[in-house]
Amino acid sequence: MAWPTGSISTANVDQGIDRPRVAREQIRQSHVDADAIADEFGTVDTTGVVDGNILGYDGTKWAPSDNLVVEAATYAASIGAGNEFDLSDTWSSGDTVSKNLTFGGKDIDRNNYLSNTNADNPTIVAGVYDIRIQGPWAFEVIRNSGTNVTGITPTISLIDTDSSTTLGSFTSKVPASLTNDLDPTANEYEHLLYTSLSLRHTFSTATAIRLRGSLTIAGSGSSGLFKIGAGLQVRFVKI
Amino acid sequence: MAWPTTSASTANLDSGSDNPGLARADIKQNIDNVNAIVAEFGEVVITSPSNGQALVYDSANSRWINSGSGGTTAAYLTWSTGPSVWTVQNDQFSIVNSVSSNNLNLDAGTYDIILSGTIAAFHSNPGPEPNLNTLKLYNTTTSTDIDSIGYTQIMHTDNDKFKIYGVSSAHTFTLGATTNVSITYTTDAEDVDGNLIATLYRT
Repeated sequence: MAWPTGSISTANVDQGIDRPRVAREQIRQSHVDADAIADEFGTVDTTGVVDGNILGYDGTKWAPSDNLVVEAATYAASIGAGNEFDLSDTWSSGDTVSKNLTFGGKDIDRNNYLSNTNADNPTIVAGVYDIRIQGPWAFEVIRNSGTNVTGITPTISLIDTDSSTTLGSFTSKVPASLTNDLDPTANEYEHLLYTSLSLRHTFSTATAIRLRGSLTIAGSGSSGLFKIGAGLQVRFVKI
Repeated sequence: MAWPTTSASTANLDSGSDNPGLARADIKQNIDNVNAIVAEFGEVVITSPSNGQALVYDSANSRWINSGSGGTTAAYLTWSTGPSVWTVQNDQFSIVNSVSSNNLNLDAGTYDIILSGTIAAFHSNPGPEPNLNTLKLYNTTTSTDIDSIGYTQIMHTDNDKFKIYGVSSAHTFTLGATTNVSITYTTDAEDVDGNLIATLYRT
């Protein structure tokens, strides 16, 4: 039985002097439409519904659910770390140096939450989002001059570039001694990292955002080159 | 037209001796309510609903349908190399028929899959650079590519022993029949090791 189309006239039942007998066809159609609605849904049982529930099918009936995921957008955010150092990517002790990640690639975004992707500064449409950023990233720092590097603090940050505000950040763990390198070589520091950043944020208007990987390099009078690579996944769930 | 908030009384219709003529106002209320429900939804088409689906708007056809495209039905899996193998972690909606090594057996339908993780290509001794050349979602049943999986080289050791790749990729694909789906790769490395997490949605 198909969903009803059209609206039933109440011309013969909207006045006190109207006689329902004359409205027989409309009364009949009302029954048919009500049956069609009930038939289309099967059974709906909203018992126990609470704020935030979704009407979902549980195998036998339509009922409120608190364990269904709503529409989301999933993007890759990445930056490749080539085999060679980019000689323009330099650091000096005390610096925080950074690289912007590029959005795009293989993604799913049916509702077009993001625009201007395939760039490092996409725009997200206004709304409240739960944002989860996770995945592997890595850095390599090479010291060309000065004394030893005494510490490296690697951080992934989500930034509102319209207001130059950091919305959230996650600092990955690196051993204080800078040991456990992937390739132990004097004056070279290579680490494979993981980031896991979750936040809820309200964008009151369409906002340009940026994902940035940064390294704060501690030492004294030292300098050198760095590179950052990342292959992160960013998931936007609009709530 | 807003959703009905007034129930139509059946006081003049619930006994055999009732006079329907006295139920005129209630009949009108009932018609108003039905009209309001129909107008609120526009059109609803529910076809063979399955566990976990929700009522989702289909803008292409201007109607509400039952669907998992809102991400309401998911299976959680892992994929690892050496040898390549899928493992089902959680599949409460029975999206996956079965798993046999690198073959994920799925019914005909449309799916989203989201992949994330790391893959390392390496040599046991320094030598030519080890590369992951291709990484694909593959239809084993028809021997055709489904899609290329996105990956980025995130690290390369100076001794040329290994490269590490970050995988982050999301795909929508449709299967016309029951199909084995695998992940395949090509490499010039001596070996490849990796672990991916996969979230599979049936839409």
